[in-house]
Amino acid sequence: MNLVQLLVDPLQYGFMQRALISALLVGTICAITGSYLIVRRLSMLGDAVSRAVMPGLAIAFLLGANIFFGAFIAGVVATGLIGAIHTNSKIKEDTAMGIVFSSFFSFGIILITKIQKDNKIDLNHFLFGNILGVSESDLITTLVISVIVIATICLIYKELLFHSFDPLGAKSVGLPVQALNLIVMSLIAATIVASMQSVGVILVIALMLGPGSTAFLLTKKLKTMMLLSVAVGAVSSTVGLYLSYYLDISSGPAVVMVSTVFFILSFLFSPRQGLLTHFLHNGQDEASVSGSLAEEVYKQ
Amino acid sequence: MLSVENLSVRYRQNLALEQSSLKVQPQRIVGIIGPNGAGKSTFIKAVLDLISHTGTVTYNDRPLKGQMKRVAYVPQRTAVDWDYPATVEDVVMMGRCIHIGWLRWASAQDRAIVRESLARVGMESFAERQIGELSGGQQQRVFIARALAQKADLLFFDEPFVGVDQTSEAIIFQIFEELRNENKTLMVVNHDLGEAVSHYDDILLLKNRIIAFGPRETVFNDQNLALAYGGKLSRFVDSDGSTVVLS
Repeated sequence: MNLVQLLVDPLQYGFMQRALISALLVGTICAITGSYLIVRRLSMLGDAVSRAVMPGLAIAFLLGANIFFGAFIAGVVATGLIGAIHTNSKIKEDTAMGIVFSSFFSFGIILITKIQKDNKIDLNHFLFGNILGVSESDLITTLVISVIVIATICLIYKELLFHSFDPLGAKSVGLPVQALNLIVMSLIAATIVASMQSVGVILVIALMLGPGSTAFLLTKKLKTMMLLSVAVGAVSSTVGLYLSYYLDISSGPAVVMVSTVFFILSFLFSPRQGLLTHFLHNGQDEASVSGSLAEEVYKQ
Repeated sequence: MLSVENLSVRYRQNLALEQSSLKVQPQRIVGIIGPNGAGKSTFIKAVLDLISHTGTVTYNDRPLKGQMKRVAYVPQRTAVDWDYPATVEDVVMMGRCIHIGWLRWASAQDRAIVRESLARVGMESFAERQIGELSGGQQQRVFIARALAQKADLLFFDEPFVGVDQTSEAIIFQIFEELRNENKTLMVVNHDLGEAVSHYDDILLLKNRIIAFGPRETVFNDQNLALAYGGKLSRFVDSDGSTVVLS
């Protein structure tokens, strides 16, 4: 079997076609919103929100409402609670996050294990993703969320750039920083919700941070960081999906491991920051130092 | 004219700034000096409504809050994440953000203003550099260029000379004077009491309240400095005639 067959064969199944589109969309939006998490140092908040969505989707399921919408609401409520705890007490933000996300997560697991007994709903699918089980309506939800996320970021890119780089400066010229904060947090919650099906809530943070930090080490502009991050995210998702299909492994961990490989490569070989790059160049640096020393001596 | 009335700031139980009132005339460079923890940065942030405070701030008899477009603020260098993926040009373009407006992109004119602003601080050849690759003085000049690109009338600088080389300091003071002569008002937090003081038209001496405010010649004297710094300050004249102050 040649490479083309390897890639095309699985696509004769409808579930694989849906899985591939879903993987590409999720890889793209996780990479974009993940870039904001990285540059604003909000990675832990992203992690907290991703687990806090659980009770929302369970409650929505019980009420017969859209589970994506329920999860989104829970994510936003959790973010609000974290803020409320740390502004109204001496408890710091990291502790507030730990308290809120673990409580939400626990409550979500209790609800879902209860529901699981009477319904065809699988806790593991939410925790670790089940990209091969993406339905048409799931795909449409993911598509709608992706369009909203990408469009929002394109439309207010320059304001978000200013605000994420220099929040005080942005506030000083009169930008509505509270609203911008809320928008970013909503986009992050929406991205997490859209990614539940393919990577699961436990691992979505890895798909947000992996491609973004890979690109962060290689670029000097937020825009190029995001574009490169999207490429890494999309490739990771696609490769992970095929690995999941052929090796019969869980899709979420497969995608995450591929993106981790990219990160390791970037960490070691980034032209400006890479660990090995410095190591390899050290030989040359020493030569040039002794060269300039020789010059000094020569001048004297 | 910038008018500040009864400005007070509390951090938890502590009064960081108490009932401060003053009026700043246009065309002045105001140096804000005082010991560590005197509320210098706090004063600026409260005027700009960046932190919660009581009291009112007006500019030309209207609340400053509605005229933030006319205000430029240069934060302390330590408050900036220099690893952020932004180039020099990106940062200066942020000064155009509020002028470009929502749902619009930078025009050729905005890009020209960014280039001019960079040229004015002598940084045009660094436009494509990532901001972390610059020296302290260069980084400060980039932020000054951002303030220039914003075409603001009121400019606030928080410790612009910390970690800045001599060349950059001279360039920055020269730009301050040019801006003043273009009818703008500048307020500069500076903990240095040395030669730098001579560049300020007015001095605002703070120690959690206003100790003195007015023209440099009348305010910058031993009596006022002793009030702000206590007895921990000695002032003497150097061999070249300049005043040296040690705190």
